[in-house]
Amino acid sequence: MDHSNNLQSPNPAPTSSGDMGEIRFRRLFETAKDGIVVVDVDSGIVQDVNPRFGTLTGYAREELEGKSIDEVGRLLDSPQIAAVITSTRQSDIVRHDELAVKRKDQRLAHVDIVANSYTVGPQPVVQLNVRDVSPRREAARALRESEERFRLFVESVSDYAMFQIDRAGRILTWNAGAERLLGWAEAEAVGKDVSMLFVPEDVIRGEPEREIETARRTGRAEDERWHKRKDGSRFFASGVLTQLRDEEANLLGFAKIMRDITARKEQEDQLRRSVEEKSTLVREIHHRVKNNLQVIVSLLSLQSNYTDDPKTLAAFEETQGRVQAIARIHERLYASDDLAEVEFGSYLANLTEELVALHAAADRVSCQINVEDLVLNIEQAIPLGLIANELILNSLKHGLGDGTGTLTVLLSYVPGSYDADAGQTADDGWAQVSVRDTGPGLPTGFDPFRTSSLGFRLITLLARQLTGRLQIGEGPGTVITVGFPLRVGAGERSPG
Amino acid sequence: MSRRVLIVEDEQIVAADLESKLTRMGYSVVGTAASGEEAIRLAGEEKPEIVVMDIQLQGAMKGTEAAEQIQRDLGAKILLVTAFAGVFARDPKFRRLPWKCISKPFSAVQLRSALDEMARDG
Repeated sequence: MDHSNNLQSPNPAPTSSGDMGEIRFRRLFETAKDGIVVVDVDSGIVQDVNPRFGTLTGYAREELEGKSIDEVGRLLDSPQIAAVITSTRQSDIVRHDELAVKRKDQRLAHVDIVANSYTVGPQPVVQLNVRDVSPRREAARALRESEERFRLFVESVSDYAMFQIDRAGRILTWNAGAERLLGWAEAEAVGKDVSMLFVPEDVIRGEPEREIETARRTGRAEDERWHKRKDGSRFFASGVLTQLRDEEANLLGFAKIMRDITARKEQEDQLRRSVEEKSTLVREIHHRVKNNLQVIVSLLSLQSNYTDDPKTLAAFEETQGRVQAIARIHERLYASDDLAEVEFGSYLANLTEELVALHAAADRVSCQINVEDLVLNIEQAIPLGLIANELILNSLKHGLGDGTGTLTVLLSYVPGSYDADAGQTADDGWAQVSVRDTGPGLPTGFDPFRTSSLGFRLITLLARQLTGRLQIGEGPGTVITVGFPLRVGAGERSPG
Repeated sequence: MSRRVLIVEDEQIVAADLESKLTRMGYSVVGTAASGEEAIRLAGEEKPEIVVMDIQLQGAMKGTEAAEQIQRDLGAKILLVTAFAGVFARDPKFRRLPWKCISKPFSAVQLRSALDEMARDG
């Protein structure tokens, strides 16, 4: 810092002006922020010392005035001060920056000194203006230390590659992590274009330039990509390129921090492959289940070719229908995202329409379907699908009597706990399926638990499997409702 | 004269069931193929009007590829029988094709109504 203009030079005027000038000079001299020493050139004797010089050096004015400048130089351990008269003979102004002087208490102080000579009346004098620069030196030292610490920190980080590039993409700095990760030594990397770290296909696509442009435009550019080492091998890195700007917002360049995440990426890739394989496997299994169910249906169908007995034919047909109801659940599982749950509402609507189309004469049965979206796992979906199949078939084949009327199918979700006769509760709420027809209704005294009909036996068995409850509702017509607690999560098996 | 049908299905029991059902419905089954390649050869020889075809077959060729070729070469109508008709129906590539599709396992009624629909569509 150049501050020579600020160092005060007392105006030589006092010698030739009146008392006022003298007083003004004295005031300046006494209150100056810089130390001032006036030395008689001929004798080398210190004539005047201001208070600031005293506080700077620790010596009282009386200890310095009247001494030779040589002696003062010795006291302060400063040959430059001792030689000041000789120096000013050679040059009008002599200056010494950051000169070390020893204070009276033996501590070192650092000062800038400007010495110039002039005359007081006939008498030539040298005036030394002395400024304490210790605070400035201390600040500069702290800054240097801080920079050094930061440099050491960056250089010693070995897990992260850290380097800077200029605006054109040339490498400016290179830490130990960069050398370890990328293989080039600092001397090899500095000055090279940053594109040497990119894989050739990214260089062709202009990725290095794009990254710099993004960081320039938005402040930073984050990326995860393959990079190239000195030996040509590749690693997958996560990196951030950040722009560096000075206080006036001028772009200085960019800093890049990069980390090798190849191991993490490989783990993720393997996990993804594993999930894909499992999902493919589960789909394949659903596919095979459906194909095998088709084989079973075909076997039943072929077997039924060998009988003419209407009751036997009906039994074959009903069994085929039941297998189909199971197969439709698998089809929905196959199409679902997690391969484990089905949206039962649309299944039930679809099943109802299909059964009405197959078993009711056209236009003789009207159908009311009112279903909520309800996701069920396979453990509950298959028994409920079979129950619905039986209830709907019962209504279509027996309940509606002459085969005309209205079939109503409801599916609803009931939040809260479920109080079945068995005292079951369910935090996940419960569901109920209800099938109603407008036929003559069940015979008086009908007991679903004692009937010989396979359909009703299946319904009671499967309701028990769902830990549910079977209710015969109030007519007119037949109303049968099955309610059961919901089990969230696949693979949970209902007791019983 | 009964309409000529070619069955393409590698599961022999299902193929036999299809043949039995189709015969009872009054169709004339001209052959049964287990692979796409065999289906194309048989179709060339027998010139069926309808091909009832599974998608997953023996051999490299998918049922859909064989069906496309047979339809292009002979103008036969295609009824796909697949485990996952719903998935097939959502595929935009196949939604454009004038094919019918039923899901396995199918009943005689479902098979009949699909064939009737094809006959009505011309």
